[in-house]
Amino acid sequence: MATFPFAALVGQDDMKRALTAVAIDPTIGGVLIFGDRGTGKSTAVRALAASLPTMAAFEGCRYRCDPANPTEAGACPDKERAGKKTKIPVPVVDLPLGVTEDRVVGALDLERALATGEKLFEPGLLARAHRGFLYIDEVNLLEDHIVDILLDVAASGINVVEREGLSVRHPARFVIVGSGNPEEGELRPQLLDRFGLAVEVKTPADIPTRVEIIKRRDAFERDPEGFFETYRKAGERHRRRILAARRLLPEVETSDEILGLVAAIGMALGTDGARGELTMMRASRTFAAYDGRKTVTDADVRGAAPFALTHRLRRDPLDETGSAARVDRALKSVFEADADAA
Amino acid sequence: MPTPPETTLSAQEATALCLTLAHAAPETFGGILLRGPLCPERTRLLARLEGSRRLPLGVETDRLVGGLDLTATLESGRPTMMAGLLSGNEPFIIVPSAERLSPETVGILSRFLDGQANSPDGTRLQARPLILLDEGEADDPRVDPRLAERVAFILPSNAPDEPLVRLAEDWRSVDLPDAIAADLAAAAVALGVSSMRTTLQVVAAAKAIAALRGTSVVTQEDATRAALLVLAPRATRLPSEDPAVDPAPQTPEETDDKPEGEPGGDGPAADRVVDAVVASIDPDVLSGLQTASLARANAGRAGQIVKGGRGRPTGVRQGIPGRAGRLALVETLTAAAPWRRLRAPAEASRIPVRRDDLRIRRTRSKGATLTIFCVDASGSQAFARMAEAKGAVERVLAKAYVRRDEVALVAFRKESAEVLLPPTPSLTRAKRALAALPAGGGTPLAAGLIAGLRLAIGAAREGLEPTLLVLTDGRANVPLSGVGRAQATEDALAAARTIRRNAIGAVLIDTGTRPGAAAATLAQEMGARYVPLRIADAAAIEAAVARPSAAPSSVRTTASPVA
Repeated sequence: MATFPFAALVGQDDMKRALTAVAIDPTIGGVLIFGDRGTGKSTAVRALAASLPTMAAFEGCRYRCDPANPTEAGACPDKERAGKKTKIPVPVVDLPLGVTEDRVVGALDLERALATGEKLFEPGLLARAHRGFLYIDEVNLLEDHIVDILLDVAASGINVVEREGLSVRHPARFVIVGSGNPEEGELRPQLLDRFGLAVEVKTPADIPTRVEIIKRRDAFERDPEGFFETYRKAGERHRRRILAARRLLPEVETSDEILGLVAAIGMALGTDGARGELTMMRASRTFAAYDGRKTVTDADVRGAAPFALTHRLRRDPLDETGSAARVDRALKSVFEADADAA
Repeated sequence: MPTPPETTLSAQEATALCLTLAHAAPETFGGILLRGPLCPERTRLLARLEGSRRLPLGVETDRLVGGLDLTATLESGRPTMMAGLLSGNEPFIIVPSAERLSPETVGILSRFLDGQANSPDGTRLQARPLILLDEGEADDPRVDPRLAERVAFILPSNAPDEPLVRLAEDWRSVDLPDAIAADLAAAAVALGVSSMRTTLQVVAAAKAIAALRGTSVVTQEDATRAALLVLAPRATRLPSEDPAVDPAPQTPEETDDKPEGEPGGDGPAADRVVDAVVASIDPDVLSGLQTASLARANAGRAGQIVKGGRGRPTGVRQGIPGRAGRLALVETLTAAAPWRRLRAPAEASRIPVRRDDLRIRRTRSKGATLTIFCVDASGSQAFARMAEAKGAVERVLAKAYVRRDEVALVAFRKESAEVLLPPTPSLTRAKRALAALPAGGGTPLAAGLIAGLRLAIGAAREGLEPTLLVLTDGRANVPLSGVGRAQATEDALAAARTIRRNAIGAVLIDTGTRPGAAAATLAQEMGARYVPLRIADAAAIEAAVARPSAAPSSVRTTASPVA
């Protein structure tokens, strides 16, 4: 079935902005989407990937090495690949619950081993997700030993397999998109921290929005091609803006005032470590770049702060105030102080 | 307002529609949740779905999506894959004990319905309708919401057996007037069905119903029937309960720009859809709507508890048998088999197994604990120490959160005890349940203890280590029978002794304003550690919970109360 166009998704602006930000700058890290079921989380990730431009790769390369990256392409463990270049779509790989370690990191190619006695490595899901998205539904229910692998690979960008005389290293850089419902189990803090951005999605409560969703879904199901055509222009505009933003990103400047603001927000919230502030900074820059600006504004920071910080607050399990409200309060105080000083 | 002829849906019609629609468009309707005990009607209905695939109980991932067939592989010396149960072409897939599926199976089946599941060779598995059999009783865990939400239809297990009819393939091209879309959206909200997926399903059902009539436009009658079919079994509230979301004032502006005179679309039309649904719901069910929504909210975690539970494994991984888990023989051989030629080319008949091949079957990790708060919420408590009791519970909760333990909450007041929160690791939910704890009335202490004991026994069966934390002043005045004050204390002491007999670790926190004999005696009978709240600061309670009196291994230690 055709993919629902990203541009046709109704509402859920936070989720769309956060996903767009990591599409512009994957070094921001993953996106954690938590909240209600049936809000189109998986649809949004697939739609975003489908809306991104295809990537250059070597034909037959099972590791999706980037030809533009000589170190990566040179060290590619896939001896079989042809030298010819090709274009591949941005992958979205599902990491299912209960998945075995072998399937995640890769394992011996059974077919070859049995048929010819050859010892060959069969890449796993991590290789398939390289340069794309790794989607984990119900990430809070993921088994601990799989989480450990993800943490390790996400930190290094390299998957190292050393077992049974198999010795393989391959690049594995991907954006983790995790969805889950915090009511069904809390996420390990280390994993939480790996997610650059976090957004909360809610089932739309107002009827006009719900009617609009019904109508678009109906139109899509009746005539997927026609529906896609309706949103083609909007989709292309989004793609062009992402591409332009990627090019512009290295030139986006952050003034000392902005850096001060970021630090002040981090301090007001007492977030642990610099990661939150760094992510806030990076996300702000993608917002500026997406708008075609070379300077980061207060508004960019204000927009990025909740995405970057909500999930990083030191958790007081007995504080009734939600994290979002605490971020909001901190932002208000920092920006007010800023306005007073000006 | 003129009353239009009431739309109803007979049980026969409902069954026929569910089967027909689920069969025709599993990717939209998912299937049917058949809820209720085994009965002749269910047997007949399933017999009607002849040629369907029935999943075995406790089915493993490989069997579902396919994988290496070890026996055949070893016999032939070449990899032989077996097809998964999901890759066939049977019209329906019957899932027995759907309320007991492992989270992994739930995940696979969900992706299967979404058209996102692949077999190991990468072929997409075509979605087919599921018939989920849920025999759970009222208190039992429910079908995992991920799955329950994906199937559009819920039928009682005694639904009549009806033949399928043919749905025209182009049913999706039936026109959906904006006004009807608005009616259905409003009706779903009014009935407390917030899921967008269900809303899209009721709309699709309306279109299919219109197509079955042979028309090309959905009418209000079709919409109402679809609502009876899809929304009625999922209603969690009545429209009148919350006027803020009453559909009439909120009917969207879109309806304004439609031509006048079209059926439906305005407030009253949406009301008619809702009215028909409300009229169809059994009055007994109506009174239970509030609790139904609670039960539904709880379903997710309750389903989780079963995670590999009842002694079932939670997964297989590489490792040395012993502390971490038992040897998984088939998986170990599967891991070793491919290496046979490499390791021992001469001995073709033998599979050399090395350390790296060893696979272990993990069961639920040991040491996971469940703290069951059994809280006296009677009148005497409510006014004296409720706030302090809540505070103490919260401290223990915070501790449990750090250790990632599970907690459950039982409250007793008036005539009975109630499980306010089934076992959950969610602190958020525990806190909410605690905050909303109602108080006042008599003290049915025995009932409370028994409710806590039941949870504890259930948890122990699933491999958790339960600790009962009872907060009471020990002054029972409602016996199990409900009448007779004198019997109340007797019953409570008997219940306490049952707790000790079952070797459930327990702590009794005396919340009375004047801690005294009643609670201390109770603690003694229970074999519980006794802590008066007056001197119990949070730290003391935490310490007590860490060392409850009766460890499951030391069955009959008489714990002397710590005063």
